[in-house]
Amino acid sequence: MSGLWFLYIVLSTLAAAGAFVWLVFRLNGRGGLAGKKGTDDFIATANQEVERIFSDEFREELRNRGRLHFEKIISDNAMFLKQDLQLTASDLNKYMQEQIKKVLKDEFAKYEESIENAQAVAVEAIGKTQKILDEQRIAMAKQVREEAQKEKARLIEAFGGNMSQVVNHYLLEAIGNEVDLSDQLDYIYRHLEDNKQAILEDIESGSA
Amino acid sequence: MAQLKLPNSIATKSDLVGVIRNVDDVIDNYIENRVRDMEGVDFKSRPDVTSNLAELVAVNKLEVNVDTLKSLKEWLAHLNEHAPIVRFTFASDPNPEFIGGIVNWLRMASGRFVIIRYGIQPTIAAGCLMYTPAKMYDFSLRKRLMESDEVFLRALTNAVPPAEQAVADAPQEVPPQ
Repeated sequence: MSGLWFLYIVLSTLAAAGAFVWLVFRLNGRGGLAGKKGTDDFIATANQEVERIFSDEFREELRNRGRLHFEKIISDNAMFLKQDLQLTASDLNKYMQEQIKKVLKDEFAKYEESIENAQAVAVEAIGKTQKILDEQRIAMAKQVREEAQKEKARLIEAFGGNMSQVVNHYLLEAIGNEVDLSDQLDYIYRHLEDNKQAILEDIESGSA
Repeated sequence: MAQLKLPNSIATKSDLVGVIRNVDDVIDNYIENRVRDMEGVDFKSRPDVTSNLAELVAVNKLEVNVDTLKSLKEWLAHLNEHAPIVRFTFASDPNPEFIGGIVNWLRMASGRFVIIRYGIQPTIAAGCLMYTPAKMYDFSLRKRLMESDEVFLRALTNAVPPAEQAVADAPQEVPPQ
């Protein structure tokens, strides 16, 4: 509504200005010097009228209306710009989401592949370790059996040796005071006879 | 006096020293009796003569007088100083017959008047240890038993299965699949 009114004023102003200009040119076409002087008067009059029509209040009104119109345009453009910006932001957001999804998908795929490779390597390593452990366990079991056999043999041998000492000790303790010396005389004579030569040599060499 | 014989009853160093001391006593007794005769004392003491001295005199058929006894003493002292000594260790205390038999063998074998000394060590069980001036001879039953360890081990081995066989017969551990 205000726009129509503003347009009406502008058209009215332009029509008045056109009529005035047409009148000035009409008057100039009729006279010489006198006409010259009259023209100047007309011009001055026109200027006065213009000044009267386009007074400061009217100019201020036009300026205000122009400012309002400019503000409206700016507001409209700002709205459009906002819409475009929102649309662009939405598109950009969507684009970013798609890109991020794509990148994440690729990265997850790579990560999954890496995990699978690591799992395969780990399984292979565990298998090798298990195999080595089995081999070592078998070897160790074999070695332990051999050592146990050796130890048993050694213990039995030591037992035999110690057993003979035990038996000897028992015999010595048991018969130590039971054997009559008279019964030992033949035993001692036999040893003396067996070592007679050495004994006599020792006696000869040791006597003064 | 070189023809004198030393009876086997005088076997040890202590026997020899005892006989020497006994000879001294007898000589002193003879001298005392002679002095009493010279002084007109109608008393004669009788010397205590040990069986060893009596046997020594009997074996050698000596006429007992002061001179003879002095010569005998010199001979015994010489033996005490120079006779070869053999030491013995027995499992128990030997009787005189046992010692006499040992001494007789040594003297017959060596042709010298061997004197012995002996001690007792029950741990040797039987037999004896003999120490000449240069060497030790172990005639003990203990040594005989120690030397017979192989015999004992052989008997033990025959009595029980060998260790390898015993281990082989033992159940073996089955490794898990």
